[in-house]
Amino acid sequence: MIFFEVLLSFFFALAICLITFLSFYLFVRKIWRREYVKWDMMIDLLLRKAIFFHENKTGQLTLIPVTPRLKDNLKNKRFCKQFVKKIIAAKRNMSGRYGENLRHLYIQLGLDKKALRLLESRKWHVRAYAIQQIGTMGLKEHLTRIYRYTNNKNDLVRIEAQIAVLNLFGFEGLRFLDIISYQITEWQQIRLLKELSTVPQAELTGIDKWLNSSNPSVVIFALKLVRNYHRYELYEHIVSCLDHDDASVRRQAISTLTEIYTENTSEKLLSRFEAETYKNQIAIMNAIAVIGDVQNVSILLGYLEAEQHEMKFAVARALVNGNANGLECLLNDPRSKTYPLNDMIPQLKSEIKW
Amino acid sequence: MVSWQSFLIDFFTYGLLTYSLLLLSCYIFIAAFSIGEIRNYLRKNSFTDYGVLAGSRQAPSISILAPAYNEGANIIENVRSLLSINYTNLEVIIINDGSKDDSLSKLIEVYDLYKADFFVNGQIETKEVRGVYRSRKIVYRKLIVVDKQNGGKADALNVGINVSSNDYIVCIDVDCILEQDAILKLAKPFLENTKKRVIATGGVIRIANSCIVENGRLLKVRLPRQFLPRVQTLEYIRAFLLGRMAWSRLNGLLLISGAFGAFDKEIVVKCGGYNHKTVGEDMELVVRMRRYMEEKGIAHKVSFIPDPLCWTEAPSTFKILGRQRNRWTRGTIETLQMHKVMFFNPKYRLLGMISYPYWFFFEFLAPLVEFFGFIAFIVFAGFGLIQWSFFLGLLLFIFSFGFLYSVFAILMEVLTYNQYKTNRNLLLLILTAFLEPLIFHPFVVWSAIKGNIDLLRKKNSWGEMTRKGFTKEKV
Repeated sequence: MIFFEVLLSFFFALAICLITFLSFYLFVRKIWRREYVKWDMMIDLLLRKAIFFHENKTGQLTLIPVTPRLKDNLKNKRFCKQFVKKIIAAKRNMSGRYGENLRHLYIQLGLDKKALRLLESRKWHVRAYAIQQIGTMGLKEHLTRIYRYTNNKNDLVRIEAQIAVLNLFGFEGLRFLDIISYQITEWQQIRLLKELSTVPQAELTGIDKWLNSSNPSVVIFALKLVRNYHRYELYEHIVSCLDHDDASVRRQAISTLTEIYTENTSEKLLSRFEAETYKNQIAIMNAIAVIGDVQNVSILLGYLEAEQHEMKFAVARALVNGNANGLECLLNDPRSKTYPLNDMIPQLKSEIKW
Repeated sequence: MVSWQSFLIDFFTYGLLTYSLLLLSCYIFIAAFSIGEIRNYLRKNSFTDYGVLAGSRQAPSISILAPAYNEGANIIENVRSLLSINYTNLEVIIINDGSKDDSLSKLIEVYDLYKADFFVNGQIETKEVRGVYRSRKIVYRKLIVVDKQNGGKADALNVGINVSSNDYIVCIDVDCILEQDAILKLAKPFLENTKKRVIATGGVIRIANSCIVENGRLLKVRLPRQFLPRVQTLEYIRAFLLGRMAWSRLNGLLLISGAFGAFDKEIVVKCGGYNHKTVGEDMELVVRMRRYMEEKGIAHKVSFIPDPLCWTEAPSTFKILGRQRNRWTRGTIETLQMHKVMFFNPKYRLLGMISYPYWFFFEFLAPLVEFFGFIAFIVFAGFGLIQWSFFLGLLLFIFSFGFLYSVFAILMEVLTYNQYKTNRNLLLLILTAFLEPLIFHPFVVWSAIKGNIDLLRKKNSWGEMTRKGFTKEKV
C-alpha cells in the first residue's frame, strides 16, 4: 500500500509541477510576445533605413546610423536572434545596392563575428544556422571556413554549407561535388537546383567530371544539370551513363535523354532494353514515347508479349508515339483485338488526339 | 501453509500489478523518446522551405486517392479543396464507391466531366469499374473521377491504385481538410533517405469539431465545445505527438492513419494493395508492407510528421464513437491474426521482437486485462479476499498516471504547435484530462470488449459513421 501511496503522490505532484510550469511558460511567453511586437517595430525601422541608405558623395566609408538603444538590445540573446532572423529574411528578398546595405549593416553590428563564433558550436543546428547566415549575407571572405562543412557528417550542416557556397560563388561553388563522399539526397538536389536557377548558366563547367564520379548521387545530380540546362555537348557522356553499374543512375540517364536526344537515341535505348531492370524498361518505353524516331517497329511489337499490363501499355504507347505508322502496325497486329490491348488502344488513340 | 486461494489471488494481483507497471513503463519510455524526435524534427524543419518542392519538376509525382460513398452533400467542396493543393506533379483521383446518392452526377455537372477512354491496369483485383471520368476544362486537368461498383473503402482505394499513374499515393478520407502544405510535408521524407527506402509517411490528424471551415479550408482552429470531441482531441495529441513520434524514432511504426497517409506505390502494388477482408485495412497494409520489406531484406523506414496536416470530424455521440472503437479493435485483432508469424520472430527484427508484441500485449490485450481485472478485483474485494483500500489504491495510482501522462502531452502540444492558444482552452484540456479516465476511458474499454465479441461472432461491418459537418463562419 505504501508503494501505491508514494507513487500516487509522486504522479500527482509531478502533474501539478507540469501544470505550474505550463502556466509559468504561458505567462512568460505572453510578456515576450509583447516585447517581440516592440522589437519588430524597432528592427523593421532600422532595416528600412538601411535598405534605402545612401553613402555620402565623398566616397568615405559611412556607417548606417544605429540608435544606442538598439545596440544595447543586441546584447539580449532573444533580440539578437530576432534581429538576425529579420535581416536574413530581408536580405533574401533584396539584391543589388539594397542587399549590399543590409550586408553592411550586418557586418557593422558585428553579427558576422557572432556567426563565426557559432560555427564552432557543437550543436549541429547552431552551426547550420551560422552557415546559413554567412551564405545569405554573402560573406565570401569566410568561404574556407564554410567549405569544409560541405562534406560534414551531419546532413543538415552539409546541405546548408553547400547552399551557402552556391550563394557565394554560383556554379563555381559546385566544386564541392569533386570531393563529396556522402550521398546527395533527392531533397538536397532539388534545393541545389533551385539555388542554381538564379545563377547565370554560362559559368556552368565541370559536369563531365561529375558524370564520372564514383559517388552515384553526384552522377545523378550531374545528369539533372545536363537535363535542366540542355547541355547537348555532353550527349555521349550521357549515353555512356546508360552502362553505369547503378540502376538509378541509368534511369536518370534515360530521363535526361528525353531532353537531349539525337536521331538514333531511341535505337540506343532499345538496344539496352533487355538487359535492364523492370523499372528501367518502363522508363525506356516512356522515353521512346517522348523521343520517337523508332526505325524498327518489329522489336517493339515483340515486346508486346510482356506479361505485365503496365509494361504492355508502356510498349504500346511507345509504339504509337515512336513511329509514324506505329498505330497502324498496332491495329494490324492480331493481338490488338484481344484483351488487354483492345482496352488500351482507345486511350492511346485519345492521347494522340490531345 | 499458503492456501491455493490466496496463492491464486496473489498471483492474480501481482500479475496485474506487473502488467500495469510494464504498460506504464512503456508509456514513460514513449513519452521520453518522443521528445528528442520532435525536437529534432522542429529544428530541421526551421531550415526547410517547402515552397522549393511545390513548383519543382523534380518533386515526386503523387496521386491523391479519395474514396467517396454517399458524400453528395459536401463532395463538390471537398474536391475543390483537394484541387486547390499547391503541388505540381499531382493528380486527384476521386473514387465513387457505388454511391446511392447524387455524388457522381453532381461531380459530372460541376466539373464538366466526360467518360474517358481509360485503360485501368488491373494489377490489384477489385470490383468492376464502371467508368473513368475526366474534365473537359483544362483547369481541372488534375482531376480523375472513377465510378465503380460498391466494394468498401479498401476496394475503392485499390481501384484508385490501379488508376493512378504516379509513383506515390496519398490516401485520404474525402471529407478531411488538409493544410495547404500537407502534401509537401508528406512528400519530403520520400526524398530524404539514402540508406533506407521510405515506404510510407503518416501525418498528424487533428480534430476539426467546432473549428471554422469555409470552402473546404480551415479558417480558425478552436477546441471542440462538446466533451466527447474534446477528449478525443486530447487522445489524438497523446497518440500522435507522443506515441507515433517515438515509434517513428525507433522505426517501429505499424500504423498510419487511414484518414491521411502517403505510400510508395511500387511496394503497395507488390504487396497486393489494401486487404478488403479486414476493417483495419490501414494498419494491415503498413504491417504487410513492412513484412514484405523485411522478408526481402530491404532496409526501409515508415516515417511520421508531427505537424498537424489533416483535420477531421470526430464522433460526437457515444453511439458513433462506440462503433468507431469497435471497428478499430476488430481491425487491430484481424491484422495481428493475419501476421501472427511475426510474433517474437527474430527474422522480423524490431518489428517482430518489439512492435508486434507491443501491439499484442498493450493495444489488443490492454482493454481485456483492464475489463476482466476490474471485475475480478470487485468480486475479490466483495468477498473480502482483498482489501478495498488496496483496490482503490491501485485504481487511484493508475488514474494519477493517466492524468500525468495527459498533462505531459498538453505541455508538449503547447511547447510545439500550440494550436489551442488561450488559457481557457488549456484549462479545459487539463480538466478534460482529469475527467477522461472517469467517463471516456471506461466507454472505450467497453467498446473494445464489444469489438472482441463482434469479432468472435464474425461480424465484419464498418458501422455507419454519421457526421454532423463542420462549423461555417458566420457572416
